[in-house]
Formats: sequence, structure tokens, C-alpha cells
Amino acid sequence: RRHRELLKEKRRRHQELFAEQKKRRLLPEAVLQELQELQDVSTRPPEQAVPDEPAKLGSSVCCSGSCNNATGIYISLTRTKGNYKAVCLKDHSVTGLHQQLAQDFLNAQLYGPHTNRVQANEFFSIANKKDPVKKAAVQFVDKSWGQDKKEKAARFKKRWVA
Amino acid sequence: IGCEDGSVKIFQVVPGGIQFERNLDRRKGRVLCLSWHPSGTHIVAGSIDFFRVIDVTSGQTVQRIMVNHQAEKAKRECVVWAIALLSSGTVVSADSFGRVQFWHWEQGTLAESHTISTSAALSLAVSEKEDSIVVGTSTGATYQLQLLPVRLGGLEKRWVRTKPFQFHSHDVRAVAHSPTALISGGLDAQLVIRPLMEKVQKKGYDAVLRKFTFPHRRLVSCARKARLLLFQFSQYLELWRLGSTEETGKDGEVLPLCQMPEHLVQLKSKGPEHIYCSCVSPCGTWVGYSTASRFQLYRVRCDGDGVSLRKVPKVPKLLPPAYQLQFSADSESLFAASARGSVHVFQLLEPGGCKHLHTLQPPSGCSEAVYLLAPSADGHWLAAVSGDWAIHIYNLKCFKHHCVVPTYDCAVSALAIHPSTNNLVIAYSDQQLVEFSIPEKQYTSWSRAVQSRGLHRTWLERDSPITHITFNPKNPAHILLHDTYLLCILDKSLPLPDDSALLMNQSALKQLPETARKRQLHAFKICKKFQPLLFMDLLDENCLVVVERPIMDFKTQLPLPVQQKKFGT
Repeated sequence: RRHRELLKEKRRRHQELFAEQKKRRLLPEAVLQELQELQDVSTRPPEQAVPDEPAKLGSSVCCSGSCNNATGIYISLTRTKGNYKAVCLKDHSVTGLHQQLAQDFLNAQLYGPHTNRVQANEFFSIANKKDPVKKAAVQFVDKSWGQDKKEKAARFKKRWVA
Repeated sequence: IGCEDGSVKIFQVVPGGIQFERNLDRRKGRVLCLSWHPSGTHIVAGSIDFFRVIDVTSGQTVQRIMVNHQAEKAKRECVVWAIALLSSGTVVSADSFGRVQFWHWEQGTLAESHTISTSAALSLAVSEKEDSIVVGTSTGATYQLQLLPVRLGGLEKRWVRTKPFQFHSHDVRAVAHSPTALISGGLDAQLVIRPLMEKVQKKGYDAVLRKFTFPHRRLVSCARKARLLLFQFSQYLELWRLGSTEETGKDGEVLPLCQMPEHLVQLKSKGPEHIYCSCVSPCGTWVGYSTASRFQLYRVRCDGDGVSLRKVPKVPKLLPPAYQLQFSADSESLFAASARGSVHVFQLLEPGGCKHLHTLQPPSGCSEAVYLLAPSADGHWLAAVSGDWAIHIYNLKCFKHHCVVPTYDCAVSALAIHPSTNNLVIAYSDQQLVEFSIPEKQYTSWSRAVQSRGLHRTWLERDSPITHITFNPKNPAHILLHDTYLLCILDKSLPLPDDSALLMNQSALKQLPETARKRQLHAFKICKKFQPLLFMDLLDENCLVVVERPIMDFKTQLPLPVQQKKFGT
């Protein structure tokens, strides 16, 4: 008898656990409500809702089938920080990809790490120094100089001028 | 055409384009360079680490040769950047290790190998006689290799690297070999022609090194009344309004502006094609441009602070599009230069429309396209220069051909019609200047005087052509012209200089007293202060607008050059 009771206990606990997990997988109540409303309002066919690559979204949490079975939309609102990007396939046609690969190859071969390239300011500075008439070295303005000063100025402006 | 996937495709050249014929044998590895055998029986295709020879009739690869097995540092792949197939069956390859190698493709052996540079050899060209090759490298150096006998008078010949040149600061991506000169084009925006001393007959101007940085076409248009400038870049146009000043000052002073120059509009061209020609109307309300496949016309409206640009719909389709665009002086017509010597005349309609009026054609036909146009200020005449260097003049009132200027064996670089006398002033690319009277259909007496006297030696030795000619409405004797390095006001009422006088005598004249100045004054008043010049025009009697393009402005934006290790740096 104790054996049967223990089993029952176990089964009950397991069922609770499963119910708990199932609940966790379901989206929060408020969100489900909103989704339901949205579906009633829009009459869009479900396929167009995701022109992006659906495979990429598979990694995040999906709606459980029980609430959105009829429409089959995969919406991920509780998205984990994945390293994916949603793109429009039309922009990335095969020809564009070939062109990009070819361009990358040329760039890597001509301007890659082994090519001994020099920055423009160094090149022209050396040219200026080697000239018969010596001139100053070339130094390009770098936007990252004096960052804290610029930030202070922006804060001052926001407070006193705007 | 060699493709990314390793295939080589043959196309037929038909009028209007190319037509696919067939595919040759495909192998793995992108094709980077191709060369036909002079007889057309074989094609050699260079790839990464190897090149292959294809028999054209069967389409099969008959030989595949690995290029990399001799490089010490075989970690890197060897890219064959340029290749050539000589009639003797020798293959010449230029690769990324800086080597130029000669192969016997039938035996699959390496005949000679020359390492000419530490960085990549990017381009090569073979002379017609196949005894000289020019190679361009990544460092900007070009080298000549020549086939010379090993012993004087002997029969055995070998390739030897003879002349090194350093004309460019950036990569040399294209080279060509003419019978008398080596031509190289670099990423530093320079085209260099180096005549070969042993091939040049007379030691005159032909033997000089020529360097070109700017195109010999007009890239800036000016709307005089509206004081607007239109700049033509390769993918977009920029419209600027000029600033103005209320002050006056002495010679050499910089006056402060009361109104700054304004960048009004940037008009981007759709698609990858370059903008070939562009123009703004004298009133400043119409802007037109043409690419290789499209011709577009826009209406510009400046109300208060805002500028609006509206495209003119239903512009008549021109096949092929315009080689030169020019608005008439009253901004009511547009002239478009087209193929086979024809010029289309369009009428511009308010508020923004365009109607094809007429097509002007030379009476005896012409196979070349028109590349320069000059309308007269009174709207009566139009001069058109076609590729065969013939200058035709048309009467716009009755749309008939009026006359043709006597032929001269040189290309025209600029021409313009005088507003009051209707004389056509022509500048040729050999620096000759000619004035032709349109109503009288003959050269003017001043022009005949210039021709018999001859132009000054310094003027004839300039190496950039005149790209724009304009006039002073207040002084009919003045002709204003400019090339890349000087602007000149030609005063027809003054005597012409002879060779003994100094041509650029403006600074000398300034220091002389009034009486001495009168004796030395001559017709050419030259200013070399603004260089390099892209454009010069007279706005009104007090203002001259001059557009300079400093070379460092764009040199700093070029792709990275290769470091040249120099002693002491």
C-alpha cells in the first residue's frame, strides 16, 4: 500500500512538474490576450507576417501550439539575446552574393595583411619630408580626440542653451 | 569572358551589344585574366595558383600549369593577375609574388622567371612586335622587359628587365604598349605616357613624358544669370549657388563674403552607370544629365529657402543617349549630341515638359557621334563637332545645314560662338586657335593673321588642352579661355607676341611704368595663380568664377598605397 502511495505521490509530483513547465513555456497571460485581439483585427494571411528567415527565429521561445494553432504564426516576444539578423531575402539575391564574394576576394588579395600597405597620412607625411622643400607632416583629424571635452560641451549646451 | 565559377564564355560582338555563343571547358577556380593567341586558336586563362590553356575550336583545356610550386613561402596562394599569350606559344604571367614568368605551355615548362618587385605585379601589356613587355606593379612602379640577343649579333634571345619607372604613387592597374610609348594608368588618378627614346624619330615635343590627371572634358556648367554652378561627379551631380560680396579691394586681396556659397542640391544618378555629360540652363531652372543608357531632365525651383527638384516626365527616349548636352542661351531649347553626327533639338515647355522638335544631320552623313556643341547667343546658329573632327554649323531658324569649317587634322577640344559677331572660336588639341566667321563662311582676318604669324612657342608647348572658351559681353575683342594650369584673356585689339617676347608677362608688366608697359603689351594675358583648373567663366562685368580641384583633396581619399621603404625614414 505504501508502495502504491509512493508511486501516486511520484506521479502527482511529476504531473505538477510538467504542468509547471508547460505553464512556463506559454507566454504570459497579458501578452496572449493582446495577441488574440490582434489576430481578430488583422486579416492578413499568416505567411506574409514573416518574410524573414523563419529558421533563425527557431532558437528563441515560440508560442505553444495550443493558442495559435489555427494561424501558425511564430512570434517570439520573449527573445533571448541571439546573434542573428533578420534580413529581407530579396536584397540578398545570388548575383549580389557573387559580386560581394568577388569584391571581398580582390580586397583581401590587394589590401590584405600581407600586402605591406601604409596609411595615407604616413605615406604623404614621408613624401612631404623627402621633398626638396620640406613640408609639415600630414595628420588627419580624428573624431575620437577630446571626447570628454565634447561631452561636457554637449551637456552644457543642453542645460543652458536649449 | 572569364567568370567567377571558373568557366570561360565566348560572346559574339554584334551591332548593339554582345551575344552569347558558347561555353568553353569549366574548371574549379575563378578566372582572373584572359588572353587570346594572336591567331585566335587558343585562349589562356589565369586563375589562383595555376593557369590553363584552352583550345578554342574544341573548347577543351589542353594544358594546366601550376604556378606556385617554386615560391618559398607557399603558405600564401599565388594569384595570376595578368597573362598574355605570344604568337610563338610562350605564355607570360604576372603574379602576386611580383614575378613575371615565361612558360612553354606545350611542354609545360618554365622558360624564364624574373622577380621584378616585392609586391604584386598587377598588369602587363605586350608590344605588337612581341619584343617588349610593360608590367605594372602594386607599388606604382612600371617595368619594361625586352627580348634581347644574349650575345651581340647572336641568334639566341632572352627576356631582360631593362627599364624601371616610378611614375605613380599608387597601384598600376592598367598598362598598354603602343609602337612608340609605354602607357600606364594608376589608382592615383594619373595616366602616364612614356615615349620610348629609341622609337621616337624627332627629339621634339613627342619625346616628352606626358601625365594626365583630369579629363579633357568640361565637368562644370555655369548658369550665369542665376549664379549657379553644376558639378558633375561620376555618380551624382551637385548644384551650388555662388556667394557674393559687397566690398571692393585692390589686386591680390581676398574680399569677405556677405553671402556664403550654398550647396543647394545633390542629385544622385540611379544605377551603376557613370554620368557622361550634364548641363544647367543659363536661367538656372533646368538641369539635364545623361548616362550610357538614360537621359534625364529636371526642373529646379528655388522658392525662398527651399529648393525643389522635379523630374520631367515623358522625356523622349534617345537611342543612344546624349554624348553632350547644351541649353540654348534663352533656356527655351535643349540640344543633345547623338550618334552618326546628329543633334536632337528639344523644346522646353512650361511648367516642366520636353518636346522633340527636330534632328539635325550633316548632309553627307557621318559615322561618328557628335561630342561638342556650341549654340550662339542669339539662338540662330549651332556648331557641332563630330568624332571625325568635322565641324558642322546649322541654322536653327530653318533647321538647315549652313556650312562646314575647313577640315584640320586635329581634334577640337573647345569651341564657342561670339555673342555679337557670331564668330566661331575653335581651340584644337595641338593648341592652335582659329576664328571662323559664320555669316561670311570663312576665317576672319584676325585668325589669318594668327596663322601666318604662328602662335608663341610657349603656348604651343602646353600639355593640357583648352576645355572652355567664353566671351566678355562688354568688350567684344576679348576671348577668355583656360586649360588645366592657366587661364588666359586674349585681347584681339593688341598685337600678337613673337617668340622672343615673354608669353607670361603679366607680373613683369605690373612692375613697369605706364609708358614702358604699353610697348610690351601683347594679346595674351595669362594668369597661373589657380591650379589645377576645372572651369572658368565670366559671371558679369566684375566677376570671374574659377573652379580649382586641389590634387591633395582627392589623393588622401584614394585606396591605400604600398609602403616604400626609404633610407633614413
